[in-house]
Amino acid sequence: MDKFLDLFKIFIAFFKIGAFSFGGGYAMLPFIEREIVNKNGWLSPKEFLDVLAISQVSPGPIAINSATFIGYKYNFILGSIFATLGVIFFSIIVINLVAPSLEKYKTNKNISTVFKTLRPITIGFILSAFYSTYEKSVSDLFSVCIFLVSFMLLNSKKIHPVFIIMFSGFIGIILKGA
Amino acid sequence: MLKLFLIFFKIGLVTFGGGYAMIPLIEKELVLKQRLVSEDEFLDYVSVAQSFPGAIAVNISLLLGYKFNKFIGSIVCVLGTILPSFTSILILSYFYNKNNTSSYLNGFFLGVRPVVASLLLYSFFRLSKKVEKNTLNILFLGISFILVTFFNVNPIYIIIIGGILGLWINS
Repeated sequence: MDKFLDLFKIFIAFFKIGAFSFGGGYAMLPFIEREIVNKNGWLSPKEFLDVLAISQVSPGPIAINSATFIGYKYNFILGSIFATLGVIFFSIIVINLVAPSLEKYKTNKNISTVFKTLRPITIGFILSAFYSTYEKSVSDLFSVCIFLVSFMLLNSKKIHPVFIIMFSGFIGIILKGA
Repeated sequence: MLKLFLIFFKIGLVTFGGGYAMIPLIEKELVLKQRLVSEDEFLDYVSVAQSFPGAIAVNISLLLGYKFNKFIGSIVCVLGTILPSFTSILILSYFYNKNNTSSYLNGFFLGVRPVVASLLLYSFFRLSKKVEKNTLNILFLGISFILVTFFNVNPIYIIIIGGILGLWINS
């Protein structure tokens, strides 16, 4: 029974994350930080940063990757199944309800007004996620250099983020590892 | 059905970097190659998927699956999309949890963590370009940033109140 309650708890935590994050992967971060790191302590602040890096270098949607990863940390395979189901559950219900009358929802003025308002709010959340990530990860000359160079490379748009992450990881192994 | 599952499985397997990276791949497979969806319809699906809560890739595969085979179709497509992601992360998290004292792994993540910050800053600038710059939007952005960062307000309340305010101001 206790085990079932535990799994139900992680399902609900990710259900909340899936139901309130608008705009995909990055918009979820402040929710994950609050629900998983601050409130329940299932993940340390450092591990929270690793989740995003791992989600980026592994194929598939970031939301699914981070749910699976955090779920595994919490309760191995069962944990990852419940967390992943939690994060997609709200979408399954809502999209199946909306899909039959897509035209109606597309042209409904109130719905589009709400979504337009939520866009800048979501961007504010991403800025907030940046702020807390920067505070936790950029502290010395090494991390400042990696931060600046990777930002320039991302802006050049010619290099895929996966390669930038892998490359920075190797520099980390050489300079800070062994 | 199996064909649909395989198409979405393939898309899930080769996309790196989340939902937005998936959109052009879905377009290529379903609109251009298989001609199962028209260009206009596809754009509608993308905009609905973006505006509803949850992961964009998940929402798009649910919508397309529903179009082909109602509820069952939506489940089949979403399973196809998440299965490669689910299995690859299971393998990665197994190794992450087993070797978290390894100095190589520590070095790797010390190098990677600052990149996560720059990815978020990059995504912030890119998304900001897509939003109209008026006083109201800038106010909403600034206030939600301050409330979450410095006052530790639950983002769920900000979403609910923001949506209501948006309706009230525009009516």
